[in-house]
Amino acid sequence: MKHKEYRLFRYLKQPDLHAITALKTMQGLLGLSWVKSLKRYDFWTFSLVSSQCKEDDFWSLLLSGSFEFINPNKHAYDIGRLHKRRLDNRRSMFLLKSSALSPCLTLSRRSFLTDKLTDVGISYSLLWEIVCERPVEDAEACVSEMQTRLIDGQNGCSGLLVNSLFEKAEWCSQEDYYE
Amino acid sequence: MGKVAVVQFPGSNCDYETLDACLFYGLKASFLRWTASLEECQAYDAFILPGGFSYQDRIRAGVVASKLPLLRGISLAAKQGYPVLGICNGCQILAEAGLVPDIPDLDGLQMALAENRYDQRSIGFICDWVYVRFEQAHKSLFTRYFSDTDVLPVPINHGEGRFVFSSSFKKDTLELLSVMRYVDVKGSDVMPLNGSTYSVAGLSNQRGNIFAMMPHPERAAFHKQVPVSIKGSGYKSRNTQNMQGFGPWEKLFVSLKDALS
Repeated sequence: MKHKEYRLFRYLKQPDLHAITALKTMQGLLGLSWVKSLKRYDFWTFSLVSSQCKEDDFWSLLLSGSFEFINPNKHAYDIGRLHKRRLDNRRSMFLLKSSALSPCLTLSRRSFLTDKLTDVGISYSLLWEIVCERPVEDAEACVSEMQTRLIDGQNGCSGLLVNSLFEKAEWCSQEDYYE
Repeated sequence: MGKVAVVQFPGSNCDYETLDACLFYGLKASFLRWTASLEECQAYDAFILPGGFSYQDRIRAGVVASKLPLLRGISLAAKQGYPVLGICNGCQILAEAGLVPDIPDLDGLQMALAENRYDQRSIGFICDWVYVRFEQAHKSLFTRYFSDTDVLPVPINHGEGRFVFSSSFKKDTLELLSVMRYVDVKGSDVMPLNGSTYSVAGLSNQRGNIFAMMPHPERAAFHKQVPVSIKGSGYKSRNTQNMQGFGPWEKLFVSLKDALS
């Protein structure tokens, strides 16, 4: 059977306190003063048999059928791809994906989907969009510094955005995620 | 007697109960705020990181607090042998800072507190009374007065209390430490609701001067805090005569007091 993949990116309409605190911690306590902005997305990939549901019907079910994935009072979203941000050449952007090593969906979300669809695969990650005030030529050094402080951790401490004992991290290609 | 710092982070909510318990058991304790300098840390001889939601659990429980300069001060003090106790959110902070279990032979991060899961399902926040028992209690400064047969009632309140360990940390490694495990009222092993690996509820570092525990001893420090229905060996159930008396966690505070005397 042919499976089709749908992608949903969700973010908060109001200021995201997790992202603000993470940014302040990076700039202050971790010494990454060149990180200028941070945005957090909840990212779901749904995989379902293409014959069981049309794409429009699927999104209608997911977005209007309940508040399980999108609460319109709180959330905005992109479908398929993120909107590309324009940056001048003094800045560069990175996309960090973190997900649980052993994924586990809340029971209510899983039952909401499986009640309506017979065969659906779901994966969930957090996407961190990191804008740095460093030119594109510095990208490698930039990633190396962020890898140490945000993912691997130093001196036995955990990384700020990822705890490697129960989460995995991946630096993503922007071509795969942006329009 | 040495001075105990009860550390207040933005979002701590068990700081006053912890201070009350310390004072009740005769410890010389006061609050130390998260903005304290390394010099201010040096005025204290022991540190208790209380429960709560430091920085609203933003990003991950305990992670922001673990990056504060204050934690460097506490880490330095711990390396010199000063006692450090982390309760609930304090336990998460100590784990994120890499201060427990701190096995010198193992590299990198050795332990973390992940979201509660039972039977492969995310079960969210748990608020309940549970029972715990110690193994190698004598190996920690905080637990040395408990017997390995004591079954102690204690409340838990957490959403991220599932102990997970690095692949290099084996079950045998726990024998190097004082370990607190979830058990039933008779002291038999149980699979805890939070899905904690090896049923661990708390543990010490190898040196024995740091103890990190998810349950709340300060909420069972007095008999009046323990529901009448709760039983256990190692303490007498509450009744009208002993309402004002010492609770099941008396020995933890007394042990700290004796260490500082």
